[in-house]
Amino acid sequence: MNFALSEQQQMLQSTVAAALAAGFPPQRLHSLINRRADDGAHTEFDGLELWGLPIDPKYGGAGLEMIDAALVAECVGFAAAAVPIVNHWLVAFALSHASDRDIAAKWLPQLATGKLRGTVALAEGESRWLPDDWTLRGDGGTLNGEKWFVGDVAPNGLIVVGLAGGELGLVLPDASGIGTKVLDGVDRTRSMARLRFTATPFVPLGCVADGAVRLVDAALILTAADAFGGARRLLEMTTAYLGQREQFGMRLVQFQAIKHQLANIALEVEPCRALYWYAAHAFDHRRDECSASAALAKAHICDRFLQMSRDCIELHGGIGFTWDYDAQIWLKRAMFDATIYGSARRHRERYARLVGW
Amino acid sequence: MDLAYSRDYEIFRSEVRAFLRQYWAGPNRDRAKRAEEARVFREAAIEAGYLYRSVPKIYGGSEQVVDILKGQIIREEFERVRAPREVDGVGVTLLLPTLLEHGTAEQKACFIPRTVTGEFVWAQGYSEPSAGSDLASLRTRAELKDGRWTINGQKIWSSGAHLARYMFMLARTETAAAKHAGISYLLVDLKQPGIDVRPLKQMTGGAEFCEVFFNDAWTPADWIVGERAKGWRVSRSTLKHERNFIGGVDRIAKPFERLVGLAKQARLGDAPAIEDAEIRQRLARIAGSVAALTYSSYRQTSLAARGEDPGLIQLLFKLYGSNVGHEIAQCARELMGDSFLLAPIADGARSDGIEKWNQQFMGSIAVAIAGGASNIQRNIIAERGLGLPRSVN
Ligand SMILES: Cc1cc2nc3c(=O)[nH]c(=O)nc-3n(C[C@H](O)[C@H](O)[C@H](O)COP(=O)(O)OP(=O)(O)OC[C@H]3O[C@@H](n4cnc5c(N)ncnc54)[C@H](O)[C@@H]3O)c2cc1C
Repeated sequence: MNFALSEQQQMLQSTVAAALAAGFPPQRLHSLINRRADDGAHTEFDGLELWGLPIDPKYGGAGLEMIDAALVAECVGFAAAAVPIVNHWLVAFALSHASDRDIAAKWLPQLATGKLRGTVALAEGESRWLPDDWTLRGDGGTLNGEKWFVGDVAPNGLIVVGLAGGELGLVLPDASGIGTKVLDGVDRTRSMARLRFTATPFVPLGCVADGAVRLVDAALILTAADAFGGARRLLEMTTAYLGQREQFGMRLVQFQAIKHQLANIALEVEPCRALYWYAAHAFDHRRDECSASAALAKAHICDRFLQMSRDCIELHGGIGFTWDYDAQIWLKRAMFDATIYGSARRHRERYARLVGW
Repeated sequence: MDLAYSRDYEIFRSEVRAFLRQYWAGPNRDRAKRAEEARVFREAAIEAGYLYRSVPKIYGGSEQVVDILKGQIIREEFERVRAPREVDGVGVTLLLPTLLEHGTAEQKACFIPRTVTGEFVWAQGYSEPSAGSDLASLRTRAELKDGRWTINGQKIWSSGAHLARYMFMLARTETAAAKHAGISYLLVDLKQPGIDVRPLKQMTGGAEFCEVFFNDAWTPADWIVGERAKGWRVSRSTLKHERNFIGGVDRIAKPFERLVGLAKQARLGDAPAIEDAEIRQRLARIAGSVAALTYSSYRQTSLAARGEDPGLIQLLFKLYGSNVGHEIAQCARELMGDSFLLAPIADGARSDGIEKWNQQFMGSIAVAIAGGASNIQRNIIAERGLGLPRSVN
């Protein structure tokens, strides 16, 4: 019985945190949200060779678990780093479940090196995020229809597409008939597009059993981890700012009203760490609890992140409400996390059903 | 990360189970017999090394090597069959650790063995009418004269003092010293003419805490724990235990389980309340907090087992638990319907017994006050957890 991080895991988090801090300093984040030219590079992060982290070593990956992926996602959330790693891993999770082993053997090694990138196209708008909601049909080996809010679409990358009946399909690099419309997302640290498929060829993944559910569980857990990281960052930023801002001849952190507000925020944020850890751990080791834990963690943590980000901006005063101050970056990440893959309400209802209420 | 126990621990678990099968048949239907059965059972459990593991054998404990995971297994297994664990009350949860840390050999020998068996029942005498959160401003005086302490003053809110034989208390022994520096930690026999214990009726209807008046009461000179004037430090180690104790996950997880039970039992319209969309949302929202607290305690336990400091989270348990208690109360109130009108243990209560939830509705407020009120917890989190300066108010 050991529910704490190993030395390797602590090391993983500290190296990833350092690489992301170096690669995505605030100036760069602001230049991203101002849509200034950005080469999209993440050299320090690339140097860590994490693209294959959850991929089976027989396909050239590191064979680590969901908890390790989630620890990295926490760092990404903390840094608000524009690295397309989570969507890439989701493709890896989906392909690992493909019943057609040739697909895994063909594509996973390329995903593991990061030379080939992947993303997932699940949502169809109007809150249709989950397998039961999907309506896109893959008749006759081609796709016709739309997918919304697709992140990190790479030229010549793989796209895992959610299909009617909770099936998954794989769109291969260079596939024809894909129209991409970039969406103006509220969170500009993450790219987002609407994809229109017109007679686009695809390969059915033929996932074993609950492949689409596993994919969604993974997405929920990694989003929860991202939200925890973001909340940690905002709390740290707010505590530091109020520690040096003076009013009434004193530093604001000397006022008890401020201290209590910060204590209340810490109270809501810190326990979320173990909540996402548990869901991630369950993904690999307690499968019967995984979907419920993932739904609960996503709902709870993203809710907390959204509320605390409002509180933190309020605590900053006017500076917090400006475009050029850092806080807004994380408020918008909180807005993104709260919405992507379905609302807290939706996942709480799923939780209730999954635990048999 | 591994939530399973290793083979050695699973062997230990099966030993605990075998012990329980042999010595514990379940709580006796006849309430009158329960106390005696619990006493006999505890003796066997101490002998087997399962209770009072940190208490030396000479003082009636089982003196085991510290092993947090074994402790956890014992709690789980005893809980599963509802076997008695250590005796309830502040004598065991608060005084015992303090005596082990600061007591003299004589004090330990005199008090620990019979506290462990439950023979000595204790009350905590800290709060005073004008010293609550600002405990160090307490005024009850103890003077050393003729080889004994003479005590004058008043304590208040002392839980169970009317049923207790002894009290551990804080008293001012040095009048000239600064606030925190003038306090000593004393043990007192409550059964004496100079002490008047008057139960105060609580809002729930029971009389569980008391006022205690000291009028030239006395206690032997050597019934002081730790050095003279060092009582504040001695008492702080006690409060630390209290924070963990009240924040215990069981105290939240159990009422939540019962709340889900209530939602299944209660009806909204024509259907069980648990089928109502809004109630399901509320329950799931609380479930998120309960799960976060539970898994945080796994993390705390694991880090403690490794000898590492879990940090901020330790300071959060009390306030987090109090807040979840409030949420449970609010949800329960909605589920109770008209039963909310009835006294918790009313004469002629309705047969479904739902009105007993009024006990939780009120009791959860006490949790937020006793053992350091919520605002004081916020001060602690801000100052010790987030490193913010002490307040200017
Ligand atoms: C059921 C129950 C059992 C108890 N059992 C015992 C017992 O066995 N032994 C014992 O000694 N005591 C016991 N107590 C007393 C308990 O420890 C005190 O009630 C508690 O410490 C608060 O003190 P107070 O009641 O004087 O409130 P006060 O200290 O007067 O506080 C009133 C309010 O002001 C707030 N407040 C106080 N100071 C500050 C500050 N600096 N900043 C912001 N807000 C502040 C508090 O949060 C509280 O909400 C018990 C209390 C209860 C309710």
